[in-house]
Amino acid sequence: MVGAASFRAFFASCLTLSLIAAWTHACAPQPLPAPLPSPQVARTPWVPPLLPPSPSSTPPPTPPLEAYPPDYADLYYLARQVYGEENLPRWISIPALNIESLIVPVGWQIRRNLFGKERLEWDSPGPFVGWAIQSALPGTSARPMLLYGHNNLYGSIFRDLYRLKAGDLVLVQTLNAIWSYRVEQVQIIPVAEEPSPAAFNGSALVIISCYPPNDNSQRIIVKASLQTPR
Amino acid sequence: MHLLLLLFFLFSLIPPAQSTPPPSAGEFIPGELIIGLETGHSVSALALPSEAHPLKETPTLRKLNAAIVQVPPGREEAYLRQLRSLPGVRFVERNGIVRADLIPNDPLWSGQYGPSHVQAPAAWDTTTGSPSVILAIVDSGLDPNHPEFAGRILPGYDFVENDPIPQDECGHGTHVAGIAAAGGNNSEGIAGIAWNVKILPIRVLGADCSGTFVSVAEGIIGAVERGAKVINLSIGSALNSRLLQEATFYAYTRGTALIAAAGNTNSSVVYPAKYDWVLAIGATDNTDTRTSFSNYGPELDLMAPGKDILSTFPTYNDFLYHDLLGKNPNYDTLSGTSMAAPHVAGAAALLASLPAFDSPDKIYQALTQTALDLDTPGRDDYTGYGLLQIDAALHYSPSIIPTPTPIAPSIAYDVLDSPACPGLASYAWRDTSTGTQLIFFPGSNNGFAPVTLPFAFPFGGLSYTTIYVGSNGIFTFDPPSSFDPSPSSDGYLSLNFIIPTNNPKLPQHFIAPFWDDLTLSAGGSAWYAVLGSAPHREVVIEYRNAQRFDGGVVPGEITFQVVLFETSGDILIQYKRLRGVGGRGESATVGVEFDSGRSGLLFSYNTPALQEGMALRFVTYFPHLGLPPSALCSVYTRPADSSGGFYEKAPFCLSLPSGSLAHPAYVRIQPLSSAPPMPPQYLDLEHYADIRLLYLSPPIPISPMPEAYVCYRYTPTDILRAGGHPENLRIMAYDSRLKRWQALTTSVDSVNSLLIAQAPHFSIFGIATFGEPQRLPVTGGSIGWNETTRWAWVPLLGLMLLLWLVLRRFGRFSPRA
Repeated sequence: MVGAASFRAFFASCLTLSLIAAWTHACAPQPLPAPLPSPQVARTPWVPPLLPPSPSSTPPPTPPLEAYPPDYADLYYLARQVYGEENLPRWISIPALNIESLIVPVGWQIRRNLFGKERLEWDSPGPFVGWAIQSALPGTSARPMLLYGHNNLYGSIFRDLYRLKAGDLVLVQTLNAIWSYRVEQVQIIPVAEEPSPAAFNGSALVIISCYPPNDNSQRIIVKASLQTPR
Repeated sequence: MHLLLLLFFLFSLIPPAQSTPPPSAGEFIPGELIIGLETGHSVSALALPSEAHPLKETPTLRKLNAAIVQVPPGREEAYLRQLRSLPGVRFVERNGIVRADLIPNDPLWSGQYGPSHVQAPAAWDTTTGSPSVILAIVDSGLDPNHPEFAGRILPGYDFVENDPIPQDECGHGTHVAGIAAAGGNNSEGIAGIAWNVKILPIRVLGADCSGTFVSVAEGIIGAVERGAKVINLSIGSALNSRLLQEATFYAYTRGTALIAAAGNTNSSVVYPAKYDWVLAIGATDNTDTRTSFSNYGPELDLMAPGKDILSTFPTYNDFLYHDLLGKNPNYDTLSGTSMAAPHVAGAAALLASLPAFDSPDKIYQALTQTALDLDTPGRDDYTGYGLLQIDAALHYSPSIIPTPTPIAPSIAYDVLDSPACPGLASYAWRDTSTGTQLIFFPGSNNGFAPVTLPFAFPFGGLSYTTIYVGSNGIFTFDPPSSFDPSPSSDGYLSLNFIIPTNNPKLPQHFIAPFWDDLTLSAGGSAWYAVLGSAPHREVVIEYRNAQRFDGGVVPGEITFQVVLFETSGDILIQYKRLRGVGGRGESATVGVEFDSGRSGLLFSYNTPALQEGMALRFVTYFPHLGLPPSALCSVYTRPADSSGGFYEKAPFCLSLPSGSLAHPAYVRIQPLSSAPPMPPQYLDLEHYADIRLLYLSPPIPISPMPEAYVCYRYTPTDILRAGGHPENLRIMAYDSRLKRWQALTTSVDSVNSLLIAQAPHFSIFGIATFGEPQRLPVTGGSIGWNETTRWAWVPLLGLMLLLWLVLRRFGRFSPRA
């Protein structure tokens, strides 16, 4: 009796473990970044980069700062110190897909999988759209601004990204400006053939997500160009 | 076993004072101990026993890093041992009593025979002394109102009462000063030897005509600080004192001639006369015969009149020797080597008035080499070189006698490099076109070229007139025959070693500007030139277009100069061209070694530390007297010892836990602008620092790597470049032996924005991180497709299914059974 019960328990725990093992691979939710040291603003004087004037005369809807997700606040403060708050991407609108979302800064961390293998992995943006902190700021086209978001379990902000077509608009909002980008290409390619982020040079904005939502064996890569101010 | 331990314990309880009988009373100041400290320590920071109290810490004693500690009288010996065991303590000794070396006798006018017996009248035709020369009388003080010294007394100091008034309450000092420097040709009393030099009265003997080691040492330092060129020490003690030794050596190395009385006990020469760098003077009488009381021994240098010497007495009555005074006021005779020494001190002051005698060695040489030989022909232990002959000395043309051996740990080298110390070390290429080419034996691939220097070059406390320029970038002061020159054992030094080498087969006194396997046989040459005029000449030795040799000639060009400075002994190495593989010193030793291979200063070993247009200046300094000169540079240098500490030169820092350092050293943190390339998997953040420990006197063997933590204060930019997380940053250490970077296990102190890593060795440190991931961000959450886990869970599930089936088939463990 006892033996059978413990075997059953063993079996159940094995099944759970194997599921966890399977889930805790690269596509599974990553633990959120450990809190950073409280920002010491005075340390690095910041010189604001020169940007072109705002291309839009419409006053942007400013997201409330106090509502900033705490898990991303540290990185946001850090980016604010280095780049200046008014230059950071804060909000994304994709009218064609009815997407409205906060943009959070994301970096990368060294992670070990269950087998002890070390690899660098991008931070998870959770339910938001992540902006890779080392990529370009809005309004430049010399190198790409890299945005990415989840498409299913851990947020599904980009579940419908594959519906985007060339010519659609993507609006990225900073504190004082809205930058508009026009989609040029929507690529869907197998994960095994994915390019490295360095291959995106030449595009002003690259949006990345997984595809299709139930399988994620492929990548969806959206390339957009910066609309020149009218 | 227990019995043995008990016995040992009992014996250890026996007070040490019983095993060594205390010296007779009167030789020491009861209850006072002199304590010499390592650099960076102060007596107030010592963990003194409860009954021991710091008594005196004067600015002058602090120059020698020494202090006085008061202990219960009678128990000095026990406390000596206890204090010696404290960390940071260099030496502990009792405060001995120094006495004026005087033979009292009946006052008797017998005229002033002294000056005429030492050729003073003839000498006065040459000079009567320059007012720019300062003669210090470190004695019982001086009567400032005596007419013989009118207008020539400088403000002195009283180290007995610690005030600026060196009044003479003994009478000895005024008498001694008169012999050396009473005005001559002034229709007044007597004539001294040096009439016009300035007199610096330093009071170290009290009203009882005795003083202490401490007051004498302070007086000597005080005299040097006040510019004395000659110091007369008519005092002595049969006991040695480390404090007195260091104080006199301090004076000597600062260019002050020290003349001391040999003593009046018809026995061995007393201290401080006994030291090599102090001239020891015995006494003769009016027949130029050694007096019966004059001390003797191998340290005795010179004789001068010391019996019944007429000289000045204070013009007031309140002094100890007053009772000796005859009917003639203000003048009377005294006898002793105390009276002989000032004859020589006066002569030394006359010599110092002439430009040719600009160092103590030259003065000593002129005085001893021209002396009138007495007794046994040649130098002997009873009359030294003979009787002082001032006129002959003034006409002597000085060369150099071997410099006395210094107190071993007193000298240290410091290196100033032009990138970090542009003010103190600067690159200025010397023109050697007037020079001569060096010829190497047996060849210019492996050989030596002896160079005879035009002046004696002071190096590591000794001085040399020959330097052997080696073809492998090492210049030795030891002749090649002394260190195994056979090619089979690599006697031509094509292999380089870390300094100090501590290897009897290698040279032990050398300069290594670029010690590597070099060759001058592939179009290269070496040149030698003398620039400037004495006493500031420079010997320039130039390596022109040398190549490294590594299995064959390595294409490239190595051109540098070594400049040896006369008088100061500074060494300047400047690098003009460092082309080709290994040209930056990747396989070279750069540094100096001295003190028979026991001491040295390593600038770099197998590290790319050199660059074109860089100058290194090796300078001597005195470790017990303070910080090395490089402390003034942009390089961060701080003393460190076993108590540990935190040393920061932003953004880098070093933390030494308490007890990690076994030997006192300096922590040196030098920010660098470039470093060897890091491996491609790392993103180099281009912050580097050369962090190392410089041992005061390198321990032999070199200590194992102490526990030390390198740290780095990171900035928001650093974190951003590291992907937003300081955990992604790594402190890197460059291993100069393996020539590769190593990522250290780095922890993050986010409160202080610090990265911390234990240092595996001292070297160049850098900061690296990992660049952004090469894969795209993962944005989905479905089960399982990645390379690692794609297949791993399938057999696992299959295995469990099989197990389940087996269990069902053989239902022994099923609940229904």
